[in-house]
Amino acid sequence: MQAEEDSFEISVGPQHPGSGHFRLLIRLDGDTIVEARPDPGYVHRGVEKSAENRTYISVIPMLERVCLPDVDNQILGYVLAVEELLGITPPERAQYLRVLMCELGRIMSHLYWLAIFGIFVGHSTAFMWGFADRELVIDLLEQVSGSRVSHFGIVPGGVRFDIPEGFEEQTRKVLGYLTKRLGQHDRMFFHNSILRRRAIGTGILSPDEAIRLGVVGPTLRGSGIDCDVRVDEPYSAYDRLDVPVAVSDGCDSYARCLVRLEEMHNSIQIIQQAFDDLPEGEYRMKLPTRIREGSAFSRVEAARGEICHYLVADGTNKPYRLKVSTPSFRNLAAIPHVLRGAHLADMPTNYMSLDYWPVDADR
Amino acid sequence: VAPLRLLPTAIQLRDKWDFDQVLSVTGIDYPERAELAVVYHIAARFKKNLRHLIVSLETKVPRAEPRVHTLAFVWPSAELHERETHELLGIEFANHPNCGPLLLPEDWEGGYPLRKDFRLRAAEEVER
Repeated sequence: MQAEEDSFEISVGPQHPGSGHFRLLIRLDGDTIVEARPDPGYVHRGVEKSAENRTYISVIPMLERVCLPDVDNQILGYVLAVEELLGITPPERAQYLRVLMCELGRIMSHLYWLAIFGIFVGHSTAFMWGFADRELVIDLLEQVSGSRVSHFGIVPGGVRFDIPEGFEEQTRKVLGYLTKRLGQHDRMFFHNSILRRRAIGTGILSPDEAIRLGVVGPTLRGSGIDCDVRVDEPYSAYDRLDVPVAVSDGCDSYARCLVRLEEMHNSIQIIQQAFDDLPEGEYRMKLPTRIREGSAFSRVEAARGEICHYLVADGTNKPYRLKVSTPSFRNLAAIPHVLRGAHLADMPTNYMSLDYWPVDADR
Repeated sequence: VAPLRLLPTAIQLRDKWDFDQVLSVTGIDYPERAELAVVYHIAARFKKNLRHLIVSLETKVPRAEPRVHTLAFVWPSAELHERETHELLGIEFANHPNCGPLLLPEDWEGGYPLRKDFRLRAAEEVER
């Protein structure tokens, strides 16, 4: 703690303020935040550099570590870039299976966010409920891939695993249960009067500011901009499905929370559609042995927002340069903005409403 | 574009074509050509009919003096990306508002990790 004239500075973190090692330097005047300076980098692992020393396939398990709560969306982006360089389109069934995995991943990630949000604001029931419900989705994906979190399921040319027998039936059962549970979460957490008082009208981010600062995903949609890559530039099977986009023009912390809640409902709908239309056939194809020289750019809508992969290939079996532009890194610019002028006690809600994930940001 | 054309082109993209958000800034090292490339990927968020488009703006600078003008004043969303590119590849962004260290440790003295002459210890051991 450092005093300077009337204001003083406190350091939040770097020992894990909630969702990964990260430090916030906050200058206070009374209990009002005058300035907030984020200090990322505590979990920087040099993913982009390591990728240059690995073959295209062995990049995948490492890249999953960029954002473990949401691996499938992360990997899909990379795989799309590799497929563009290979000049292949995977079979139709694989496209739908990818959507299934990605949307289950989105629900998993949002429930994780809800649970951590609960613990941040001292609402331990939300923490228990969020994790308990997320467990059901983890079990489903474990049936497909054999591992709980890092699935290594999406690969160039398709997916590694077809869904097992009885999977559809069980998933539909879980989705029915989750729909009911989301209603309970809504009543218990989102209608909690203390949370509402802390979140409504705080952490304002106007549409202009949101675009100017470069935020993406639910944070951008919480400011009333209906940007979603799944609709704007559809990939996989999204152009054949009806993808509802959750938007809220509240522009405050609460609006961003509501967007995520609605997105979970939307993901449930998308998964049901994908099961209805799931085509038969191959789910993985043979790959050409050589990758062409050149560059490819891909973007996908992950749970936290748009992930961009820029891949430069020199014709060898390793990427020449892989740039991963993650949503948390881009939402980092909004942290000083939403915290300035807020009360210190509102800091947890404002911070969590961005779903900033330090591990995702640092890479 | 040529390094000197970068700033005017960016302003034109923003004002004439409504591209309003930087998605990523990538630095690429080409030691055999003694060049560093900087690639900006820019999207349009406000204009619905432009949302499926991404513009990539690329410039190449000599490795001995890698210097371009910052675009953080054109698109503030470029600020953090440029800061990262400066730290990891050593590209100078002239007039950048804040180019301090971001991701690497405070006492880092290992050079620029994303340049090709920066070797990973693991890769060196494998070769030995």
